[in-house]
Amino acid sequence: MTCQEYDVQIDDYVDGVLPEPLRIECEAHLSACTSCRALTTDLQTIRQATRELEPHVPSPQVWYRLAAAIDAGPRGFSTAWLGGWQRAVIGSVTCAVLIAGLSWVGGRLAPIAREHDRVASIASTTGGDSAPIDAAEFSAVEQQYTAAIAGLEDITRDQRATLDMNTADVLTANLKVIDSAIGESRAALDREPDNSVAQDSLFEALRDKLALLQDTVAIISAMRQTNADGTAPVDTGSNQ
Amino acid sequence: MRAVDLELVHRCQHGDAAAFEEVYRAHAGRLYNLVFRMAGSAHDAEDLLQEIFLLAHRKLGSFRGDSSLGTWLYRLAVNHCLDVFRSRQAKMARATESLDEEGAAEPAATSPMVPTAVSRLDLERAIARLPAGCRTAFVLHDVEGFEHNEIAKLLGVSEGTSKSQVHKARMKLRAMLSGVTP
Repeated sequence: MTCQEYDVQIDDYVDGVLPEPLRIECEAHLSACTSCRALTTDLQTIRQATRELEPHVPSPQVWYRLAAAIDAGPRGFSTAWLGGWQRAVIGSVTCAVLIAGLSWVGGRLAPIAREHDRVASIASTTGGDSAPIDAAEFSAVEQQYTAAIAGLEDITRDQRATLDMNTADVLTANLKVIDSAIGESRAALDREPDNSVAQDSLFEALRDKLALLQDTVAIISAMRQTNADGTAPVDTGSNQ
Repeated sequence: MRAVDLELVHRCQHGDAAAFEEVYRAHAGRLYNLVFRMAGSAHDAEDLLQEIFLLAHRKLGSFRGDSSLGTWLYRLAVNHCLDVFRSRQAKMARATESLDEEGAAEPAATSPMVPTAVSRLDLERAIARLPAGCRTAFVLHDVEGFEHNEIAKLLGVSEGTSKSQVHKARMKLRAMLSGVTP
């Protein structure tokens, strides 16, 4: 078998779907050809890594937005579409976000936004997105994110019982995925502190975590308000 | 199974609020994974997932039970993503151009070039950078586990096209993960 003939079979070989005689021919070629062997090893590595990718989970907000969109649509279901507390959540999330923005949380987030804008501005004037930012600036922004995230984590941990089980499970799963991304970005930055891609990746993951926690706090606030008004129990599990 | 699907769809069509939520809970996770890999970002994936279920809600009347509800939703999701990607053709064309150059820059190698332990982050990012056409075939085959004949039916292409698109994607991933840049 020549390299050109092997090239035609390589994907089926990597996928393990070649019939026995052809597979043996390929293996004979691989034992003699270092170039094809290297390519095959690479493709097998990629295939294996792809199969091990962790699943992603949609945030609870997708369902809330979807339900609201259907409710508002021309063929939408009636407001019976959602449970009482869910309707209240959709109606009050915007208010809750505003309230949160004026509270301690908002106080912690505003400096981050300003700081990040400043860093983005620095990056744009020093060569665009791909330019690594100064270590001190980077550290300052990261600390701001970390502090705000820690505060929001405290709130969600203390008030977790307010969430229904399904929402709490989705939150946990999403945080796990984001934390994994943060860990990988930090590991990459430990190896290469000036790597702008890793910097961007870390900020993106921190922003995702912040947004997820903000949404969660908004939902908690809305549900607590709903509960205080006596319109619905908070742990109905009607999301199941 | 089909009878269960038909009953669920029947309930949705008659305004049973809980039934559509049941459909969402049962299928959103799998569809989100598909859409996330095809779109390349959580933000786009969540928008697409919402659009897909809105579309499903509108089109449930056309579900006849010829396939399972999961398969029907899956086709709907793939087709919707492809429609959206086609509408972003100009942007995608630029991405394809750039990646084609990367592919051309790939040197011959006599020893493996991809790190043995590929980081999830690097791989996710590389998949997101694939041109839309080959990314779709790659995601369906290597991530979702479809056979080429099934992908051919889903995408309306030949089996050979599916195979060549997956091969193209793998070679581009190899170039990207090896750090070969144009």
